[in-house]
Amino acid sequence: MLAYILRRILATLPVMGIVVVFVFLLVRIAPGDPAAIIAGDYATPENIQKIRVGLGLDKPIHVQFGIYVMNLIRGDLGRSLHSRLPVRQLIQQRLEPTVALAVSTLTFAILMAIPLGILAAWKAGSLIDRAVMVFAVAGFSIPVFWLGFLLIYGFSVKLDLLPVQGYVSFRQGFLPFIQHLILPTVTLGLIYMALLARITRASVLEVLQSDYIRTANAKGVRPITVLFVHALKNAAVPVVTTIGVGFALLIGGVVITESVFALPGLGRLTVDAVLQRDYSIIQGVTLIFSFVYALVNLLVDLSYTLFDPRIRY
Amino acid sequence: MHVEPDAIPYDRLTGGQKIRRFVRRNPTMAAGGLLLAVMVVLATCAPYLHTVNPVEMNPVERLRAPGAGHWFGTDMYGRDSYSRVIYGSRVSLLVGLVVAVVTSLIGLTIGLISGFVRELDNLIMRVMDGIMALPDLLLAISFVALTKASVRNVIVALVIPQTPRMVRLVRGVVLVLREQPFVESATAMGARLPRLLVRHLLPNTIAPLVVQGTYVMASAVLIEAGLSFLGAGTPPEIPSWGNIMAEARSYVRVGFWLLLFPGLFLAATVLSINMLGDGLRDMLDPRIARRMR
Repeated sequence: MLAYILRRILATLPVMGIVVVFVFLLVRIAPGDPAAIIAGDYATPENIQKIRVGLGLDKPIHVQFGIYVMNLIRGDLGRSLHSRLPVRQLIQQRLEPTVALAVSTLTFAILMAIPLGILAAWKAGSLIDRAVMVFAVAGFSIPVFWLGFLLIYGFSVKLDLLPVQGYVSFRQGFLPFIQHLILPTVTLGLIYMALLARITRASVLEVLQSDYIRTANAKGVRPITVLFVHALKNAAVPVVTTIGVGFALLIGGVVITESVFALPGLGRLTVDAVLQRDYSIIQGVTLIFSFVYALVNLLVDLSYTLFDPRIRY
Repeated sequence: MHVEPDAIPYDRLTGGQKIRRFVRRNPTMAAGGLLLAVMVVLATCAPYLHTVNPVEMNPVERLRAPGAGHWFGTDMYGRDSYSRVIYGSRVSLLVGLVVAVVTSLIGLTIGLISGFVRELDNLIMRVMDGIMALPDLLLAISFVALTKASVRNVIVALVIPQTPRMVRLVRGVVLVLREQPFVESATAMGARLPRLLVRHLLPNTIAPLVVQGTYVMASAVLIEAGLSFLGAGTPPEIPSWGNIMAEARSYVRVGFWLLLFPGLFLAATVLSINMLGDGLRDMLDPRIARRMR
């Protein structure tokens, strides 16, 4: 068991290595010259050269890569090209809203989608099943930012129930924290929910054809138990896989949602960095997000043995 | 004498009856295809659909609500929103289609090679895994950050994250097929690698490729709109649904129609593509179709 875990972790390392190389190269093949961008419009060639040396861009590329990796191991993600602040500090400042949004969205989506999917599979062919299917396809087709604005218009502008934008930290009050988080969570959560409900329904539907389900029903086990204990556990593997794979969509959605609702999180940091061509921040944030994504997928892989003890490597 | 319509064999049907049978048996695909066709017509016939110049500003008429002269109202510069939305469909559909086609072609090529040539397989899949480890939007955004904003760069930025999935799909098919007897007999008859790949393996990959292609197209349309919305996509001079909504975001209170209509068209387009893809998938893979019922 432990060997399996270790082997899975080791399998992730080459992928992360490629990600690091990728992120490093992505910025280095930029057509623009970062030193010139920092120096500004009126810089002299000496200024640009000085900045270039300061950034270490004059060294050969494999040396640059070596320095980059050494810094990474020490946890140094470089400095922002514009504000000269350490990238690590910038990320730490913006971490809380993003984590809050991501966690609440995941919780909301999973708690809503799985029962919905199970219900649709149980009552396959009925009106509720059709409704869930329609919701699943429609929900996945709706652009995140449009849904966000619709909800803002409905709940903030017209009904004045919830604040339009912004983020209030947990420490400054629980109720405002929740209030500011509801609309972004529902926006992103609905879309993630559509994806999950669909997969849950398909997977549970397949499981419900099994003989052991028929046995459980014949034994007189209550439907709730049959569905949530026997069926769900066996249907879990594709569902959890989708949670992992859909996490990439979640990250993209977080970036857009933070833009719509003006949440000062990592997504906004990324967008601002992109618009300013601030390569260091882009590198740092992409690395962080990729690491988290890889971690999530690793956890998903490891969870397979929980659901299906037959899976052992 | 009334005969049950489903009982008539296919050859004896008239054209109209064939269409009716198709719609009856594949409702989602028919609905999706119809809606998409409407969108394509809107995009191609944009100048003839009662539109005006979408970039022409007319500050006297700013922020008018939808009404007689301006079906979707006007925006903050007085531009006609209806025209902008109709012309915006051009960019979105074009980008979606091109991304889908290019991704399919590249994915097909790499997938065929990777699946068949064992020596390259490991390397190619590692690189693909690396690309897949980066979240889609971030990869696209990073690429756009490095280059000038233009439609062509947006297309490239969208192709890169989607290609690995296509490669995996094609490779999966090839892995299964290369053990089949017909491959062995073709090799025995003297077929060399290119002929094997193109003549024998490729035709079997077309069906899943097309299905995945529709999903890639839907995804591309959505991500392009997202990129444009963030300001990292289509340049602002060219109206695209994402662009229009980006400019309209400060006007939620005073001009919500500016956000409503582009988003509505965007959602309808993506929905139609997804429905078409679902219908295609059900049609081409009878096992799934039977199970889903």
